[in-house]
Amino acid sequence: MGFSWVLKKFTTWELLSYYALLYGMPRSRVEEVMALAGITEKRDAQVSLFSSGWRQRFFIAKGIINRPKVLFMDEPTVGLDVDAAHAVRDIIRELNRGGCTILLTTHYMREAEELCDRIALISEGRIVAEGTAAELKAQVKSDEAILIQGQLDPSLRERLARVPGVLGVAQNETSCRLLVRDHGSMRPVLAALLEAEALVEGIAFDEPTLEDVFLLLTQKGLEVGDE
Amino acid sequence: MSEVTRSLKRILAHAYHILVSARRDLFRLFDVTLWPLVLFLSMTLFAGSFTAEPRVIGVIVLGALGWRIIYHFQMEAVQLYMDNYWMGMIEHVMISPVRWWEFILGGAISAVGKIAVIALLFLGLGHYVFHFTVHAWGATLIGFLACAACGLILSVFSLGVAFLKRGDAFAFIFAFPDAIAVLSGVFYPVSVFPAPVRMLAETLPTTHAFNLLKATLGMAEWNPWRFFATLAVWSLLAVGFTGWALDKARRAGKLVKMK
Repeated sequence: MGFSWVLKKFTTWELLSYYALLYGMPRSRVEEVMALAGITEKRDAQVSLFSSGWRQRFFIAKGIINRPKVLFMDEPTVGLDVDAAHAVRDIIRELNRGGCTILLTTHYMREAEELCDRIALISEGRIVAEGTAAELKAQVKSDEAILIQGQLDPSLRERLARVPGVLGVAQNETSCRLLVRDHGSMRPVLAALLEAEALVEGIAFDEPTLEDVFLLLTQKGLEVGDE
Repeated sequence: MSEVTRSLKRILAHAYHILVSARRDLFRLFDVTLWPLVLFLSMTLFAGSFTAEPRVIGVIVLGALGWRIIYHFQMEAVQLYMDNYWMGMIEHVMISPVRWWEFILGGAISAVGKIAVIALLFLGLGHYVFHFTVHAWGATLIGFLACAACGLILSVFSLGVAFLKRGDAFAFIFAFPDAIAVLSGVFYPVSVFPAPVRMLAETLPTTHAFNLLKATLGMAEWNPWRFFATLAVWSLLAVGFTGWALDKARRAGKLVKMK
């Protein structure tokens, strides 16, 4: 009978009014959430015609219409273009500043670092580390990361992992990222690259990121206090 | 805000949902306009071509309208529930404050709006094309209310079926009124049936509701006690069944969001 698509034919205003009534909220709340989510210009547009970015904003408006104290957001920026993702993150910050506790799940470590006061890293269904971004980075006792770019053989990963001072390695075809103890690790890394006759196009120090921490913890099977 | 006020707002939300759906979706709009008209005109023009007896047209007009009343009072709540279910909406009875009887009442409110449109069409056409006029307005309105009550009972049953069968529910939900339409003697007396079928027909409150409508034209006798007795029994059965169905579906995890 195709009932499932009927609600998508509603306009933004109509659908949010429906939810406002369901949650006993006044009509004025509809205007408020549309403004907060930045979808006021889409007031009279059918939600079925929204791009993924607008749809995500609509779902945020719908999610906050009843002024929740706690909001669960499951990968809210996945599949969105840069502008849309940026807009959604701004909304999340604004909601949090307004006093809403947000439980956010994301695969984008940078997003977690940017938005979250506390982070739990989950691997294979278990929390492997928990804390602020700074606390998590401190756990792996690494001051630096080294970024290597070039045509890199897959076997290079193992060789570099054995270099003293290297805590973890993540590699793809064109780059390799090492989490190292400190600046002094560069010399043995360079030596290993020379020995392997690796075709290196660029090499530089970088700051460790949360992604480095996650990869290191999940590669070694480490948890808090193991090292 | 008191829980009663919240409940009223939820009921109004459901009515709003259905009425906006009718405005936004041609299928649902035709359900209130085109298809009832097609059926109505087919029957009245057919009957009118064979007989000039005004009561025959009267039976068709009142019977067809009575039947649409039952249909809409039945379908609105189920349609509403399934819309939310198929969309995977959080308003689901499992994890939200929405109650199943709020779907029923919200559906009833929107049914009143839709029936007003259909009644205008049927009675208007009946009057201007076939010169039919309702004389006993009091009894006729009571007959329509009786049909509405029967529709509500059907909607309660149908919602229970929807809880249990989910997407497959519609096969049953559309089958109920079709079977009941035949048994209830919408346009004919149930005395045409063989005795066992007639006895079954007499146990249905719809049979007595349509008897009342036919009685306003002097074409049947109405027994109010039979109507209220059958209505009471079926009401209890409907509420009992749906309460059981909701509990069973909840325990089996059938009311969570499903993709």
